[in-house]
Amino acid sequence: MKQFIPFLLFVIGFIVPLNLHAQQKYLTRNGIITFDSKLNSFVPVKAENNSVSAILNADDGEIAVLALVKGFSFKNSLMEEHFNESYAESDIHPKTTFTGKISNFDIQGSKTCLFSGVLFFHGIEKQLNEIPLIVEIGNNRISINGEFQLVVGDFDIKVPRIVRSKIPEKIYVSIDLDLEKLNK
Amino acid sequence: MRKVVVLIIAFAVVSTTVYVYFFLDRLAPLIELSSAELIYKFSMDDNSNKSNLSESNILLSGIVTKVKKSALIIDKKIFCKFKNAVSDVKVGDTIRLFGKFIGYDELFQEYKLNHCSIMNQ
Repeated sequence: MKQFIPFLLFVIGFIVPLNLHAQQKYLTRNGIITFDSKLNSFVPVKAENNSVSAILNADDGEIAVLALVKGFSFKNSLMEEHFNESYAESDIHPKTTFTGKISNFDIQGSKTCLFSGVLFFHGIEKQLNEIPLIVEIGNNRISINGEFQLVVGDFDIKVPRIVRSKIPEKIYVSIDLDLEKLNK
Repeated sequence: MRKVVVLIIAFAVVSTTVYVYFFLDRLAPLIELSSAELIYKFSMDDNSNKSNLSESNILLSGIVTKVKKSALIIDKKIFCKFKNAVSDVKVGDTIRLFGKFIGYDELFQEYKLNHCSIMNQ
């Protein structure tokens, strides 16, 4: 019997940390991303995508977000068509993604966290550094909210000269993800 | 009196022209598919250059495998997003719904339809 004790300890020593470090994943398919020029134009440049997918690994704060470009809906359907055909070219570049890490993520409490990673849109990868977003920790839920700015010129979007004055240089992107814990 | 008639006719002609040119050709075609056909068609699109699903409104029929707050998953593979909460639908129901195909979600490995509405069960 005594011979087995070291073996048992070895096994227990192996299993316990494994269980403690079982990955805690949070996910959503109903995230919301809106972008808005916030300019007082006659027809506002504003669109919303309410079927954004996101997966967060709560152990290390790694996050992946995916939005299908055709999922952005505008109030003006003609603007939506132009967005898809001429600017975002959604047939060629059907998705936009963000993969990155939350640097000061803590499962224990809600606070403003800094997001860094790569945003992929229109075939261009853009490094984003330390974007502050509010992370709220709930009961088996994590919600991520906030707003940041992007420069349209960074994404190789060709704007005809005629409409250049109507297309904003900067857009405000707001994000609202309500992630649910994955039950295995 | 004649002026009024001419004006009315002119207005009718102009508005019809505007409607035909700007709105009629924007009405997307409607395709009726099952989940398997949708997946097959999408995989064929990847090989050819231009997508023939991209502009389409789709009438999809399949079996509900999951019910979410404002979405349904059909045949485990197709995620259908509704504007409002879905009611009176259970897992296992055979369903026919209308929606706009927006693409393939690589994170969840699902095909996504937006602006869905239920046609009949």
